[in-house]
Amino acid sequence: MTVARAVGSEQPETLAGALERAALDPEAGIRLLDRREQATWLRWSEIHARARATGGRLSALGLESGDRVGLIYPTGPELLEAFFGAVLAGAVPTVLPPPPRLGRLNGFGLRTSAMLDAIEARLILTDGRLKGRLAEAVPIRPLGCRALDDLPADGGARPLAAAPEALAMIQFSSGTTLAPKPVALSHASVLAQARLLNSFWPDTPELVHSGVSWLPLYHDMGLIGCLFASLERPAELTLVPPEVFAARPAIWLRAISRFGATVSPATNFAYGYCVERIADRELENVDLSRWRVALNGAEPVSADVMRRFGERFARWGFRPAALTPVYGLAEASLAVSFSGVDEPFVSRRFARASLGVGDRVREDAGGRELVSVGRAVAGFEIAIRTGGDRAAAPGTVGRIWARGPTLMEGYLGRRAATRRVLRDGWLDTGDLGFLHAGELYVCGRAKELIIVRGRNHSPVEIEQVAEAVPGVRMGGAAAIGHLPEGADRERVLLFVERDRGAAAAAVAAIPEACRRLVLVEVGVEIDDVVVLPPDTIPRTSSGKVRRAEALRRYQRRDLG
Amino acid sequence: MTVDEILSQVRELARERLALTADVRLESRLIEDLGLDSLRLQALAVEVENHYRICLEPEDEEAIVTIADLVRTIAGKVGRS
Repeated sequence: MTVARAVGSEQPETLAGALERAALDPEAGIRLLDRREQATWLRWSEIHARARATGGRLSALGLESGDRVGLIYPTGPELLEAFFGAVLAGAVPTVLPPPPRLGRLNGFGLRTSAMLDAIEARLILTDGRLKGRLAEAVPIRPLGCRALDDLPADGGARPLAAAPEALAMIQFSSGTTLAPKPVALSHASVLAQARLLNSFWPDTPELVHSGVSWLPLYHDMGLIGCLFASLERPAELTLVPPEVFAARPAIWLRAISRFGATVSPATNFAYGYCVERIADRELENVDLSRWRVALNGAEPVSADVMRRFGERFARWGFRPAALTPVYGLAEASLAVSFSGVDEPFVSRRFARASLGVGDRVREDAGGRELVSVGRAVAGFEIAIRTGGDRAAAPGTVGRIWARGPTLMEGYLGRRAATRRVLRDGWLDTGDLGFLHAGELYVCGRAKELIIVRGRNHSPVEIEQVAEAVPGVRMGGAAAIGHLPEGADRERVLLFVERDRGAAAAAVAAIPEACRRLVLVEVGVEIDDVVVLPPDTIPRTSSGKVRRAEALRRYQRRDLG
Repeated sequence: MTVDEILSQVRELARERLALTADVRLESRLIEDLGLDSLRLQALAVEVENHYRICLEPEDEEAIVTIADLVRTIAGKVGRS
């Protein structure tokens, strides 16, 4: 191997170096739990050995340094082998979502093709079981769509070690959209981020930390936040496949108890889902008292959901102070701000009328409850801007900008899109918020994104489907995600304009037809469909739908 | 196991595990008629696999549109094992 030596206390500078170092620790590894809760222990030394063999076979196939590889696997040992194999071949892996279970392939094929095109993937690596299904759904790549078993024999070629500033991986921001933005992250950034996260739970002689995660590995919080953080220390990590969590959320909590995990992150949706779906009898002998850090990120954080989770699971030893709201995004390699670990989360109420861009926030007992996502993590700075490059005064609502050591290199191959968000070392997060008593509060999104159950969707994805419904006017749809008063999760609202010539019966059938078609094509449940007369959705002079304005008018009962 | 037995077990799973209130019939389509989103489809797949100790292969899943398709696939796999 020509990978830089990284032994003992030296900090590895590349993923290959981190893997090599973790492999030196014969005790270190990852535990994989299957749907029957059977555990398989996989040592880092084994993952390393398999990845080296795979890396050699990938080089023999013709994969070169810097080539992008799409990885489409369920959570499992093969994904780890393929990921680190690609890394050791000097290639740049991207983990993509596997096809939805029992779902239709049409939407999946479109989304996956868009992501493979965006990274100019030379190769797809996938599970032998998925290969046939994928080959029909996505266009052919130069080196094919292969299972690990189909790779040629290792020819012994080893690429030069990657430089720390070279690209380590491409991350699509959690989930999928029709126009996905490939976030290019360097080895130095992802490892610095993993170290930064680990600094929040230092090991002591009395307490050695370990984690459990059910988050998908195509999600930045799963891959960087859990897998890389575990690799970097190395610390014990138990992976639960996301579909197992979806079916039996209790398995997540049981795994935390069984393996004595101290750190486990999830999305706001997941905390609510546990409250809703877990029955007492599923938690026999469960002890959650060792769970110190229950991170809550990647979605708007709701105080109400966290309170309910804390109350519901206190009987099993859960400490509400473990709930730790955080804020981050793929463009920063993950975390930007953290609230206090081992401290109760902080929420405050602010007058609704004081939460517009440029407003100075005002606390108000009857106002909207927002949760603090804490302070900038080490090396990061947060600034609120209301236009221009100057930071607004504390307490002013504006766009959240962040500067720090783990920002992305850019969107792969998209200079204009990169220039729009990266300026003079600062990242425009696209989120709206303010600083209050030194802490960050997120109160909205400037970018129009719909987040359902931890997954990002572009409104366009939903609108295009809705426009195909009979009786809906071409270009007459606007999809918006919003958090209504008192709701614990984001609701999806769809406005559609009826076609001028549409018969009354067709118009009456529109809401149900839209719901079904969006469910089939996108896999998302629309909460409300509002049918409007033609030309009532507000548009810009160039005809672009103004979604935020449509929502404002709707809330003022001033639409249609 | 007969189709009727499997159907009533699938109904039970849907009610108990997915909190599904819709009427589950053989001809019901999982998405269009029962309104299952991707999260609940995932959950259904895992529940069925666990309950019958079978593995649904990607090519089986692709052909499953209705409850009847699901029941038929289960019957084929349970019979074989």
